[in-house]
Amino acid sequence: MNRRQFPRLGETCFEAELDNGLHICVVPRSGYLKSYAFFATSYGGMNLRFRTEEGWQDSPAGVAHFLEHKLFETKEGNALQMFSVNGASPNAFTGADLTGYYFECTDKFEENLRLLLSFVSEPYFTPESVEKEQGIIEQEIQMIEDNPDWCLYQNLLRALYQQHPIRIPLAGSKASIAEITVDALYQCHQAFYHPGNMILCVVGDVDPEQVAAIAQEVLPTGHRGRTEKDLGKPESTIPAKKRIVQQMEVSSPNFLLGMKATPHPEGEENLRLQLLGDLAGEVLAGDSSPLYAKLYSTGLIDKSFFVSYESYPNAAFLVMGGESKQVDAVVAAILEEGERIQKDGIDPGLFCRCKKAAYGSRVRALNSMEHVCVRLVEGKMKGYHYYRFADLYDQITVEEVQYFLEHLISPAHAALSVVEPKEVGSA
Amino acid sequence: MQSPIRIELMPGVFLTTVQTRKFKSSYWSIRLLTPLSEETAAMNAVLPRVLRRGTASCPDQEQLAAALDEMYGGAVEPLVGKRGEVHCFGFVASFLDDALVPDETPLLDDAANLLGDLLLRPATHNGRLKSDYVDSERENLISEIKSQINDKRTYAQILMTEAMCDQESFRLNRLGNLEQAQKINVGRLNSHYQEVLSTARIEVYYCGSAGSEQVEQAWREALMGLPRYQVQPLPETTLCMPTEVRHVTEHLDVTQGKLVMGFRTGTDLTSSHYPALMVANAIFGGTSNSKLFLNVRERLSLCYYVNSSLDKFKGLMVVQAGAEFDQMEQVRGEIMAQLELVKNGAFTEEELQAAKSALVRTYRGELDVPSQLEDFWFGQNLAGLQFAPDVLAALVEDVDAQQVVEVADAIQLDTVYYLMGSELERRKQSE
Repeated sequence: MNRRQFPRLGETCFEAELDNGLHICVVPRSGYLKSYAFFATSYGGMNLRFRTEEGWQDSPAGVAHFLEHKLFETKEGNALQMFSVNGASPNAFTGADLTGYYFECTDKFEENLRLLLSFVSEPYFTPESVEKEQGIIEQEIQMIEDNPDWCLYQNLLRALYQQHPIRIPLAGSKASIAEITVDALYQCHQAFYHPGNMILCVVGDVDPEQVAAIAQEVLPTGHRGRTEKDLGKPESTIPAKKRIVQQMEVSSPNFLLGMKATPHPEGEENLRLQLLGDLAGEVLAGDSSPLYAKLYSTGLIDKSFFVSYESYPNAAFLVMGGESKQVDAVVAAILEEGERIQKDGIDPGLFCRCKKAAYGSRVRALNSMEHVCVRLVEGKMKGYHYYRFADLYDQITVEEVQYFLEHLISPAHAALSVVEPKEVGSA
Repeated sequence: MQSPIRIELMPGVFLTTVQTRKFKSSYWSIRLLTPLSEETAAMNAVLPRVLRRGTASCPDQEQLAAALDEMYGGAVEPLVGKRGEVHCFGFVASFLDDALVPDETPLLDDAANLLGDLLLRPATHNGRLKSDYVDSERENLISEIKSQINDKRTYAQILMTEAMCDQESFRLNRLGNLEQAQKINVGRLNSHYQEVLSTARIEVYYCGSAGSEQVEQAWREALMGLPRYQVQPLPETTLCMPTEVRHVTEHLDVTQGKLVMGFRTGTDLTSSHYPALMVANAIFGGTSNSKLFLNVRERLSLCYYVNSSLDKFKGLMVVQAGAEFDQMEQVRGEIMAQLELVKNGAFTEEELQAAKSALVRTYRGELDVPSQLEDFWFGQNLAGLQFAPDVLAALVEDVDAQQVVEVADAIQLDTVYYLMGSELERRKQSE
């Protein structure tokens, strides 16, 4: 395997690509009792249209998430139980552009790894079990629809994007999951769950060669490349809607303000722009920025306020939000701060501090095995090595952040999502 | 990783140091401990937040944040929690470990000093805490207490605990109640601050690559000037048993019902039966291989989530479930039926093994996660226990079926709490 060292991070990665196209990445951690394995496909909730040998296919919203649930049921029984007999804790999640299956264990790593690779790559669906799952997922959808944070975020995406599938809820709707059939599940599994479209990442006190040998043995042979997906035409940076307000049973208004940015290309530039976007967010509204201090001290925001920069294939945006009794005043202050930065420039001291802080926080986050796996896998799917962040920070300049903010912070790119308390007396 | 070194730094101030090079960060905490009481809970909750607003040398948020940024993005969070009937509040912090700091200037002393400043040398006005900080953090606390309703799952558990422990101080919310929060002002908080500073027991913790002597030195300097008068003893948490089962129902505008059931076990972490209780809970509802998960959720599809968890200090077992309103009674009945099975020893060797291995993984795994390790040692220190997580894992491995049955047999239902839809929703459904 190919060994790559990252001395600044105290990390080493072993990487290989198997004959069947599976990419493997192993980060050895000596002295750890836990091992963590993460097996992911480059396929998530927003990949509704894709190409198979028969041509372009459309699938109902929620298939990726439905598959994630269903794959745990194997011919031999529920994989969850098989893992727990080995003392491992398995789980999975569906993201917008990836679905990941993982376990964590302190014993029987080899057995658990075999189990992970096989249950994810060997589907077993019956009409009865699909019908039953529809009931379970319907409940799950109902539960998240009660969650104000979820509604807030979902409404923001609907406001920001006109047609990009990220605006469609990951889990689908009651109606869309009713359309899901055994055939649709097999079709999506076949399209996305072949080794050439997947990545395996392991962190722990493990032998990298052994991981590769197990993957080689368990997974099917035959190399197919990554599956082609269609996300529609790239959108302009003008949001679909300026504002979406929803009333719910909450104590005070919550908001998210999104600023629609230009999507990133693939490759290392993707990561560099992510670091840049994060840093820009911190300089604009992070907790050591003048804006944050002003808003916090005047009581317009509380400690729930946050800023983050998110990017997906064909989509990127800066998002800020939290609880506030005067949402419009906060939004106005953010836009004003954008204008001020355009006029006065960014304080170089603030920029240096934010960069140091961002660097340190990213290194600290590597304590989490899950975090390491998700970041490395995401990076591989987008064409970069995540651990390169340490060196890329050196290249980011204050001028570049200034330019980035000047072009992003504007009423023209802004969309607002608000969840507010129900008015008394309204039904 | 070395065994922790524990010393009494000053009267009633204990330092626990875990030296390891495993992690990318150093992990710190400083907690004040007082008896949980209605009069002080809200003040204890607000105090770390007020102190976190500014120190004498970094008097506002912006300067404090800038200082943390300079230390490679150090994180210091105010914290407040309860462990049994003890209220604990202070700070947890995490910094880039000195072994990975780019310019090789160690952060150890600066980090300790910053935490010392936060606790002992706050930003003041006329020798008192700043009233604008007190006022705004009081409002933040009030809105946080109010916003507990937003997360219905946690909210239902809070209300169940209030109902179940109405005669014990354990009923109190870790954030205090609205009435007490509204009474907070600079005068009251300032005298409370002076009092807890000199009388509360204090637990200090460090985990990272620095040696224990260096750490001790750093904390000694950082805590210089800490007044210590009469350190108040902490209460023993009471472990009573129920006399009758109580039912509480509340209506809110939700689409899914929540059921919370509070049981008393009579066993806490200091008991030799505690490992068996953990196994019993894991078999019953603590894992994805448990009876509740496999039967109530998977086989009967009665709910989206159902699980049970233990409060190791108070000896409670709490079952939570989310289900359709019209299925709540069936869910409740099924939960009780599954508990009966555990009490009767109706579980297989596989179920026992799976429960044990899940617990073994959890406890061994805590050695790999700085925050979990801190929480574990804090609990041990509070309970006067000295063994490490992997020792607890070994005790769990030795538990047999008979011990599980014995400890499960003592578990008694105390309170059933239902969170149902609003009257309007109810009428709609019955039409």
